[in-house]
Amino acid sequence: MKNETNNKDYTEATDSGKLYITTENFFKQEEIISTIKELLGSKIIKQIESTNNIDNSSQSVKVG
Amino acid sequence: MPWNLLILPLVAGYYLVTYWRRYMYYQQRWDAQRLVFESILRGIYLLFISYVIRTILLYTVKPYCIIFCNHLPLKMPFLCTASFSLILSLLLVKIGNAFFDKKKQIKNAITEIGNEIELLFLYSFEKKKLLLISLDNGKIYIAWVKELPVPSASPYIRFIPAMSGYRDEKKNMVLTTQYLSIYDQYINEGITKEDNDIVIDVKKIASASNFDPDMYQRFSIGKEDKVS
Repeated sequence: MKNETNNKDYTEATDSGKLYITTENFFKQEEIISTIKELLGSKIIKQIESTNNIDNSSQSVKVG
Repeated sequence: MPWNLLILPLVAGYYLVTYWRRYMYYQQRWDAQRLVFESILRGIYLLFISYVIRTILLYTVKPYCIIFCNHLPLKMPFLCTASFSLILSLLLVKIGNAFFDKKKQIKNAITEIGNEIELLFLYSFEKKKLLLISLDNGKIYIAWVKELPVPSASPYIRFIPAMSGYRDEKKNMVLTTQYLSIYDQYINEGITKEDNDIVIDVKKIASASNFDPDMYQRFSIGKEDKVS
């Protein structure tokens, strides 16, 4: 039942020809949730976080 | 047939092409000359159908046709035939639209005549795949497509960013911001905000491609190893 809901097609279309998905529905999609989880545990994110931490600490040293 | 009456089937053809779901999403991707040509062509079809119906009616219920024509304010040969092509077009649009699913028709139009970037965006939109978008100012976004606009109406595309950064002097990717922690929080707490959407002018996109995190990690690790 849970899978049925998650595999639902949330995309919508307007009469004028625009394809879209609402933010609320976007984050309900199973593929998106799994991609977010996967990326959060990846080296890419760790690298970004560590670079940002170094930048922040060097800035605070400059200020101090 | 008086020549000025031909404006009616031409309008009928244009109406059919721009409002019938069968053609309207294709029409949004045609150039002006193609639109004129297709409108004329559909107008000729509609006029031909009207002429056939007129012939059938004259053979079957001619007296009623004559009475009807005598009551018209304008007396002009083929006026009813030309006008009927317009009525036929209105009916086709109103009835025909019920049989065409707009989402399917839009996707068909993009698949058949969409340009390369539109095809890539549709792929990301349908398969929920991340795209790597490089802008002409050096900024880069790794994002999901949230909205595909009508190409003839808007050049802007709405994305939900996952990461962003820039290209350095050597054109290497430098990622500086990640939005995923916030999204993870949204998902866990059930909050939804539209604040994170980014809107990009298609003309400002220097390049776009699929973003495969595994591939990116392999390349970046390979580079780090070479450096060390």
